[in-house]
Amino acid sequence: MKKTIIVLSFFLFTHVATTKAQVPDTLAYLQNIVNNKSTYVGMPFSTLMNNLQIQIKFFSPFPSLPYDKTKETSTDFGFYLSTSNEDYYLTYPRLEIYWQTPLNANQSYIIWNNNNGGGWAANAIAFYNSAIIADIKIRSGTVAVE
Amino acid sequence: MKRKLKLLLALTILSIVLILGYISCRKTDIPSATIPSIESKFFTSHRSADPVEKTIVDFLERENSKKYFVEKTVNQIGFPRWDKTVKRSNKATSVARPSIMSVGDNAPANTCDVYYIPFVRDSQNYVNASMVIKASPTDTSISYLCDWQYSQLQNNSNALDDQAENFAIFFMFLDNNVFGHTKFKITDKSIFRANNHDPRDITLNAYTNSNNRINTVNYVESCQDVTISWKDCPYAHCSGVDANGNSDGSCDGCPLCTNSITYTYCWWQWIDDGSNGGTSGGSGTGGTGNSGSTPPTPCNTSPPLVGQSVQNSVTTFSAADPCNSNPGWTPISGGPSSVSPDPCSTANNIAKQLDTLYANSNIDAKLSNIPNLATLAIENGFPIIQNFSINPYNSKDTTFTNSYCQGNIQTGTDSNINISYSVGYLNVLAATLHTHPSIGYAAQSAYDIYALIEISMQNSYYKGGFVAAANGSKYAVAITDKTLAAAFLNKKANNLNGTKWNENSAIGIAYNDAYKYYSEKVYNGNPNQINLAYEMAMATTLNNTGVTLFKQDTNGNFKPIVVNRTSTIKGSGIFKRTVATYTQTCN
Repeated sequence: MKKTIIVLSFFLFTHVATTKAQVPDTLAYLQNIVNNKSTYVGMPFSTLMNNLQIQIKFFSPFPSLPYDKTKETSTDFGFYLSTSNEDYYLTYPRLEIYWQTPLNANQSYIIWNNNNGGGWAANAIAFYNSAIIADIKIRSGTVAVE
Repeated sequence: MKRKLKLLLALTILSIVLILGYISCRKTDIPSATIPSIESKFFTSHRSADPVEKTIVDFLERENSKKYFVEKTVNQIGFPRWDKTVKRSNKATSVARPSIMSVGDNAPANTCDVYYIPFVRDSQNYVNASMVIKASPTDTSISYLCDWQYSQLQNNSNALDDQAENFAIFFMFLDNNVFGHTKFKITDKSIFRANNHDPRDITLNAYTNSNNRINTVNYVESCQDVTISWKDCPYAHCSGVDANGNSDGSCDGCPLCTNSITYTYCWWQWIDDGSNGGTSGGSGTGGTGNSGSTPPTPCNTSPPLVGQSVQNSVTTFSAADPCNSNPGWTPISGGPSSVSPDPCSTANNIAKQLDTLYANSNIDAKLSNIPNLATLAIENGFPIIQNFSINPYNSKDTTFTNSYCQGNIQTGTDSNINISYSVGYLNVLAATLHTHPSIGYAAQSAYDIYALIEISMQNSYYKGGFVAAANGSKYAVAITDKTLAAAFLNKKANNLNGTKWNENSAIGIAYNDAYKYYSEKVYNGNPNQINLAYEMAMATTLNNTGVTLFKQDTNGNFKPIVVNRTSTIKGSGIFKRTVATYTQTCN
């Protein structure tokens, strides 16, 4: 019985420690982060992650250089995991982080695939924790008129 | 004598009665035999066998016998098209979606069945109004929506998803339902504006339904894809008339002066399949509500539409003439501007030309001379030269042969190559090929796209640029619409950043979104995930640029990759988004 209580207490503690309060308006919240991005530019991603009041659910690497697809120049972090094409739009808005030094996209895609399509897990946190932020943008997923 | 006088008087009265009776009969019989009354025409024309429709018409006939609203209604908005009635059921309660149908609703939208009956004036060939019948189990009411009422609705003059635009699309949808019109000229330039560009026309591209069957009622999402075309003359000041023969200021309607986007407006409705013996519509026909009301007029001060905004509403049209009852659009029935070549047909024809060029110029043989193609760290490439002959008796009579030769293999850097070439007498540059190392993406870069356009603009004999990737894939890019390509070239400074798309430009954002969609949703788990996502994202961004990406299939034939990106409104409230959806065409 005592063991059960200890295990339950541990579970509750860790659950509380990893669960973040959700914000009422994700877009407005992310816009506030972008407005204050000077706080985070030049800092490790962990600084931003620890301050987030919303739980990251997935990441999406973006190797933008046509001549080197191993360089992950930016990464999207999303707060809703899509289960079908119908609710894919709910994966937006996302926080798009540009890195001072591009990350290794080969590694990030291995983690992405091992985590069932970019699920935010311990190995992903370890991978991005120390990456230095160069810029922060919002990806709204809305269509721009050309 | 007295009896004779009485008899004469009786005969006189009888004659008068007979004459009057004849005249009165003549007066009434002739019209009734040839011209139906307004009320008769109102209730009997354009009918169908639908029992729900009969219930509605019967109800309205009873209402008219008490309130006599038909004649005034006909004078204002014409006659109903009962057989084109659109229904929205109360079972849409559970659906939280933006709905253009809700425009003008004064009652909660989810408490009754709503029927939209289009009205057309005899002198016109478009829908100018809709009678809105709301039928609940306890009450039925009538109201009207008139096309000119769009001018009372909220409108941001540089956004596409305002109530004014939704209202306009709804009327175009009704008009298409009645008359089949698919294209509408925008006469009020304050609606469908974007980036400060005046709108030209709206084309209803497709009408797609996605059905979810529940009980005996079909749950239908109705979406109307439209192409919105604007006047956009950043490159040259053209003059003349537009494609419809109307003077259009500095824009002659040529592609250099226009721009367009595909947009989707969606709403929900329920359609009874008839298997339950009819719907509940009209069951509350004993109520009164607003029954018997007549349509509003532009100058009266009748209650505003729901969503009407004093500020930020359509201004240019209504401010110029507050009593203007014309809508801000007019249907265009066909005409040269509506006829455009099928892009897939063009792309497939060019694919065949590329196949011929590729085979006849022995590109594979030349590629075999590049050692270790799979592991090369730098780009290699060569030009492909086509020979032609001249009729010795007529120097203007030239014939292009199937004879090709390749220039020397040249080397570049890990990210670029400049292929030099020299053409001799009776030679032209027909194509180029370069390799892509394995560290880079397999398909062409944004830089390659603009290189293709620039060479093509200088050399009309240039058919395309090939890429042989380290992973064995082969791609080609070619011009499939010179006018669009010329316009796209003019945006190079904005669109290109080194060898990639400018991530802050519209095309860069579109590429980014498309890449993520394909990498996350389509090619998730595919061992070639990144390259496939890249090529599809590239194909997506090339749509409407005049350039098409082709990929060689396992049979050695180049196939166009054309991805149609459309905008769809999804979600509601803070989750409402205008998001892209991707459809591969030309398969």
